Amino acid sequence: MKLLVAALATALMTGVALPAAAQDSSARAIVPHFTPQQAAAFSKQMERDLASRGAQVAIVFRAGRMRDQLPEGIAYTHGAFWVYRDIQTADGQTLKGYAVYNLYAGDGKAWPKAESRLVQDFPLDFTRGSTVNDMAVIIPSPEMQRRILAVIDSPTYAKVHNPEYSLVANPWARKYQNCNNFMLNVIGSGIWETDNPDQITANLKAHYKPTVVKANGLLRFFGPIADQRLRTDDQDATIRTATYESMAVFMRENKLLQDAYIFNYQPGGASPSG
Amino acid sequence: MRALTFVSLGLALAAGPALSQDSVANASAAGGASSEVVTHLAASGVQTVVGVAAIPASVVGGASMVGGSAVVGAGAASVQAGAGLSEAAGDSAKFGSGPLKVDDRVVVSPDPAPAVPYDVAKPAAQ
Repeated sequence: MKLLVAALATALMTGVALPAAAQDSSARAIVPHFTPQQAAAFSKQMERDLASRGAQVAIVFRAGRMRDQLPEGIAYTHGAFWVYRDIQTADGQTLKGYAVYNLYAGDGKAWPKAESRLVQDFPLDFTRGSTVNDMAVIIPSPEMQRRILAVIDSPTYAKVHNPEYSLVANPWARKYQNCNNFMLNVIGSGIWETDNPDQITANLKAHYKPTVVKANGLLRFFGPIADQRLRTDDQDATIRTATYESMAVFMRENKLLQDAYIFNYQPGGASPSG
Repeated sequence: MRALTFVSLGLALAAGPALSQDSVANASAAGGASSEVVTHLAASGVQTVVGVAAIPASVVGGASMVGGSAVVGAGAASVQAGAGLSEAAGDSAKFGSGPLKVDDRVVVSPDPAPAVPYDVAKPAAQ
């Protein structure tokens, strides 16, 4: 028992919340890293970059926590599809830009923390949740863009969503889902042209290699005490989850990728119009 | 066992602040509500519009818009239910066919659902 207590105390002092930080998909997450003006500039810079590359669909990732608070090998905590759209405005206009398609976990107020919903918002909502000056981008191949968009615009988009949320959901199991696992399901639906979630999960297990989160068994055991979103009973001895890094490798190795890169905020760069 | 319980409680308490960053309640000086952000941005000369819907883009030279496909809120509104996935997004010619245009205005989301207390406690009488 002494050993157990000592191990837990050590874990406490060395940052037990690390595994919980693997994903961060809260709705309307706002962090003080950027002023509204900077967040707006960053969002518009990202939009312009995607547009210059002709991306109708991109997968963009942000870091909702400082890097020193993230598990080793994980640099971003939330990802979403950015889709080129005609955007209708409240004053009846239509303009061209990107809409963002997210899976968000609840905040415990609007809806339960362990439940996710699919929410469409806009680039500014995305950059306001960034704690760092960079985002990661995957631009799928043109054919994959077409297929992903077809899924997003179909009932399959909701069908492959599993609202049972875990921060470190295992993409090889169907029990829980986080933002990246959901995107993988949408991508998988496009790849294999199926709307069967179990088939997609089986295919991912056969062909997709998740990121391994380094966390010892004690942390896994006590994680649910720390945060109800940290559910690991879909994992075995190894904690696996989907990240930008492993998704980019999967798409590159299978020739599903046009580009993958890190996009940096440009403080002196072009800003939104005045 | 008492020590174990104590440490477990410590874990829960310690994890709280670390996890609060992604909370809605953690609105920073940047302003939580969209309307506040609009005010901030307007003060610095940034033009904003409130986005109410995102619909398939009509790309010049590409295929048509997918009919009647308002994709709002949950992003799950149905488009041509029953159509094959491979057809739903139309012709692939518009994908990867060159740079796109993006409007300079910043799109903001509508404010979240109302969350006003029904009543607030009055200060205790002195």
